[in-house]
Amino acid sequence: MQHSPQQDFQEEVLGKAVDMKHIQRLMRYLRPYTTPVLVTLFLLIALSGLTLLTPKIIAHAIDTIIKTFDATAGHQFTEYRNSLAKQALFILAIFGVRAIVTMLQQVLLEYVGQGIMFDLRRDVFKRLQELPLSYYDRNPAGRLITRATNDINVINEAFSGVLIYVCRDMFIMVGVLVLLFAMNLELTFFMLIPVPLLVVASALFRPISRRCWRAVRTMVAKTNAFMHESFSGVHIVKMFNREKQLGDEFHAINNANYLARLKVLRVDSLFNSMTLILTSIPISLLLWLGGTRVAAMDLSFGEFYLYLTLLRMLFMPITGIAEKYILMQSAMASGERIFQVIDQPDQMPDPVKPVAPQPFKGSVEFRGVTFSYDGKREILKDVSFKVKPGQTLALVGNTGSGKTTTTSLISRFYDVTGGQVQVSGIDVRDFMKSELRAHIGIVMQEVFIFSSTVRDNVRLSSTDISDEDVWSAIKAVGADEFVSQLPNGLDEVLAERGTGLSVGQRQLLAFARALAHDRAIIVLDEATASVDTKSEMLIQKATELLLKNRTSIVVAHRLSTIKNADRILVFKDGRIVEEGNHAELIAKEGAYFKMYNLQFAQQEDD
Amino acid sequence: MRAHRIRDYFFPHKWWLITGFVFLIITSGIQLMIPMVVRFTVNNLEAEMATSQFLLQAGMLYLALTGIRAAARFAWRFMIFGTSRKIERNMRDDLYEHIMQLPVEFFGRRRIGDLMAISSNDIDAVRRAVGFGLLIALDMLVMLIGSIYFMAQINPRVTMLAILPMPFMAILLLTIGPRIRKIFTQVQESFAALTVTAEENVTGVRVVKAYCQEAGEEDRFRKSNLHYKKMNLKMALIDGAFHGVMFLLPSLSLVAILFFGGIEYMQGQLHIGGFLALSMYVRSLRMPMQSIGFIYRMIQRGRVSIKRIWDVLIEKTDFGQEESPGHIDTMIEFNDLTFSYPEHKHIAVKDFSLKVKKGETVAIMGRTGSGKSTIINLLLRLYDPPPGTVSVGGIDILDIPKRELRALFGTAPQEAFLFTNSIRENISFARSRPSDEEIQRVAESAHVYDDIMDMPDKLDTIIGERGITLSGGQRQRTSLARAFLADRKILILDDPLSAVDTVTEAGILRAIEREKKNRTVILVTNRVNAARMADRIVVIERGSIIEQGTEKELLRKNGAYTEVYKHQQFEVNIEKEP
Repeated sequence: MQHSPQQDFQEEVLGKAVDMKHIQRLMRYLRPYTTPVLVTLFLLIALSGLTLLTPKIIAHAIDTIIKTFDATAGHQFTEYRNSLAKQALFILAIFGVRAIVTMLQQVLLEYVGQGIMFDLRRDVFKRLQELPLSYYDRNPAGRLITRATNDINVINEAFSGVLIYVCRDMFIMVGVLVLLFAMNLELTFFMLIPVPLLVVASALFRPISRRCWRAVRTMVAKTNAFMHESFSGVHIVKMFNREKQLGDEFHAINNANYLARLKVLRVDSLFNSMTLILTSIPISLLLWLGGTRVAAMDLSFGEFYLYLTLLRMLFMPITGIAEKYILMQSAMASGERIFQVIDQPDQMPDPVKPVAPQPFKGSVEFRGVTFSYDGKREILKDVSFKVKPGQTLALVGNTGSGKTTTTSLISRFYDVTGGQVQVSGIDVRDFMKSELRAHIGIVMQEVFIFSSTVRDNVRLSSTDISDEDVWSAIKAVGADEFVSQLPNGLDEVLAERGTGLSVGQRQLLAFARALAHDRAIIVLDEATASVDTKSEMLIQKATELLLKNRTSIVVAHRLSTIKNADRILVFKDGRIVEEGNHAELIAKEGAYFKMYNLQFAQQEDD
Repeated sequence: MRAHRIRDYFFPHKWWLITGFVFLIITSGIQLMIPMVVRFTVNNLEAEMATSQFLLQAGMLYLALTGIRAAARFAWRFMIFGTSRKIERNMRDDLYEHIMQLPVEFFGRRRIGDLMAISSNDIDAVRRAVGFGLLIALDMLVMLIGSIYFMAQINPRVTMLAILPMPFMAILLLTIGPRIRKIFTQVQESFAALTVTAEENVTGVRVVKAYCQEAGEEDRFRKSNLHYKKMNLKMALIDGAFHGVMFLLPSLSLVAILFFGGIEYMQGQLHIGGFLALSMYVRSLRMPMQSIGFIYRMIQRGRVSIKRIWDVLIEKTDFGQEESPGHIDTMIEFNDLTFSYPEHKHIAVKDFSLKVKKGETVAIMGRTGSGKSTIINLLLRLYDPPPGTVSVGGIDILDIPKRELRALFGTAPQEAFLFTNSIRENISFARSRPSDEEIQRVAESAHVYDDIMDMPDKLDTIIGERGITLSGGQRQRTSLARAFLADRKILILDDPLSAVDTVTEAGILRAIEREKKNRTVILVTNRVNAARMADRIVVIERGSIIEQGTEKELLRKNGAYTEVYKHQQFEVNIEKEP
């Protein structure tokens, strides 16, 4: 229920059920809760003792009171009844104590479990905040979200639902065995004959079950992914009349899912029935061999009762063992994934001795920068340029020529492969990343809107930006018209990812965001998506306003932006092939000129 | 044919279910007999009549009974659970097929997450409720009545006293249960809030990093995290107390058996075997009592889910009873069309009239939100226009079966949706098995071929979440190739150049120029460059046509088009100065 279906189609690797490496890591999280954990364990031992005490008392009562009473021997009935009542009350008291202790133990366990989950979640999230963008590029968003949410819940389920109760079951099993052997060594020995069989059976069954479950998970994920995509792309399906074909594909996947389920059902049911038979052998032995001993007066009726009850307790934990096993496996897998995040080394750590330029000048310089995302394909090759404080630099070129990558390096979202990026005369790697980024305002091509108020979308969590600042930024970029039309103005909560706002409106909000944060350097990646003429004009004006008096690096698509720039760099395949201002580049009749003409070629034909 | 009732899914499998249930009863029946076997054996022991031969037989009987029970258990699990899985599969097949045939308007009303929940969680809940809840409930009832019956056979007085706590358990379950469920819902809600916080942080990571919002985000997450923890602890406290009481009540029965059973024994009203059997039965009473709440919830949940599934299944599908008109010509006519989307109030298209001749190319220009895409949506009957307002080939499109109508159009929609599949599959989505040459031709036309050849597996490269990610421009061009390959009589291009750079734009325009031959084309665009290649340009504002004509005519009018033209030309003119 806490799984959103989209998150389901992920890597489903079931690891070992017990992996000491991960358990040790988890133990570290347990440390702050040592006292409550020890108390819980103590309570569990006490509970196990109390659980075993009850049948022992009843057995004792059978032998010493019920079976001993003999009216013909002149025993006083009231006397026996009273001592029976005493035993009954005693048991009642034990039950009362058990109820209270169980409650205490459950609450305590939850306290510990939730505490650990809170800490784990905090650490995963904190780590995610520290990790560089390259990490996010490598891992799909859904996967990272799962790390901070569902994966941790799975661990909690295993901890408070399995691990602790496995401990309890162990205590009880040990206790039962002690009591059984104490009663009759030989008889108990015979009764435990099926135990090795059980061990062998489950050892055989486990890998098969694991394989079947894995197949089920994969199929469920496939089914869900297929449905999700069909529903998202329903427009296309309808436009091209493909309902029938997709339906056929779905039936095949859905049927494979069904068959995988059946297989699991068959395997699990078989194991289930086998366990039932094996665990009933001791009881039948009790009827036969135990009965023989009772007949021979070697075993009392009370002891017979005790055997009957304890044998049941002994085998109780075996039922549901498969489910527990699977839960442990998924918990280990989750643990592994969580620690993968927490242990992920930060490949771009802050320097040991950070430098903070005083005063901050706002120049940007690339010196022979080469860069590659994957270490194979070079996106930037020997890029060098310098922007003086207050100047505007426009980057132009085809998609994939390296413009956006260049802008990412200024804020040190990635580290250069070779060469150097300097801001205010200092290598960006010598800054604290937070210090560096506090000087740079960024407007990205695809505007991200948080599902929060307009105000919070402009100022984000920078509380030093007042309402007036927010409003004047909104006004300055010309977004005031639509914001004031929203029913709640600044307090209007925007929908998830900004649905409901037009592309132009979202861009204006991003401009307001950058303006409100008032940074010395502006990095702007102009959106290519076409908007209507009026929005286009507003955006143009806002762009001019934003770039004024700031060092700006713009991935430019608007001719007006390009022409207003102090300098233009023309990128081709990761290199700067031309640079200069608009007039110079046109005069050159090179790549820029060609590109420029292409855009308007047809108009000139007329 | 689609099932008309949820029960129709179960009916064809009734014999499997009934047989399964019989095996379930056999399983429970044997379980009920076992204490009687023990009783008989022990009573014989007490009477000192048990020979070792007899005891061996008793042990064997017990083992044999368990063997039958194990076999019956396997049988019922396989029959009932297996059949309910089959029913689940059939329901999901039908539901999927049905959903995919529902009109686009339905998808505007319902969120995809919601539909996913219905097709997975709700179907699962129905399966559980019927295949598990209902049958297990019946079985529990058999166990309950059976146990009490056999107990009464052994000693009615002790039985009466032993089952005394049972009604209290039932009352407690039914009164406290709902309250616990309410808290549980709150726990889940706080988890959902936590997930949303994490989701936004991860998807918006660039903004977070660009504006150094890490600390603020950590704080936001900490609050959600803390709230979730608190809700869980609250739940644990109440749940713990509840379980404590629920544990205590059935324990009273055991105490009753010890005390009253002991007295009865001492008074000669009960044998020791009976005493043992009673203590065994009282344990099998506990199970049904404790599962009441569980089963009740399961069945409730199933009922809610049935309703949710049903609400989708009764939605009218996209496909009506229109008769095929045979050959359809490709001239298009909008006649005084006024339309607003069902989920919105404002009018999207107003008094819109336009004739597109066969073989003509018409460009539609206008601001975002001016109603351009709505016209396309109506033409394809993704939404139904009012009667008599839109016709194709002289036939009101409401009278043309949707499949036939849509088969006329090759469309590149504004949002270039691609599937997580190979490039090849995506381009050939509209047609089965085109040759590689054909795919190459359209991919080249759409200027995406070189991009594809750069990809690791060329045409077989998988795109999407688990494959490589395409840029917006690549997506758009792939979608364009898909529309070209469809090779339909009417080509609809909805803003096909919004995400491509200038060089590519010129190339694509040339390709469109080729494709428009022998076709009727509707081209929605914001670019003068693209619009001017049309035979006619239509400018719309607020859902109505404000200007139309050839480019020359419009420029003479000096109206809205001229303004856009000048604006886009402005930069060129400045350029000419030096």
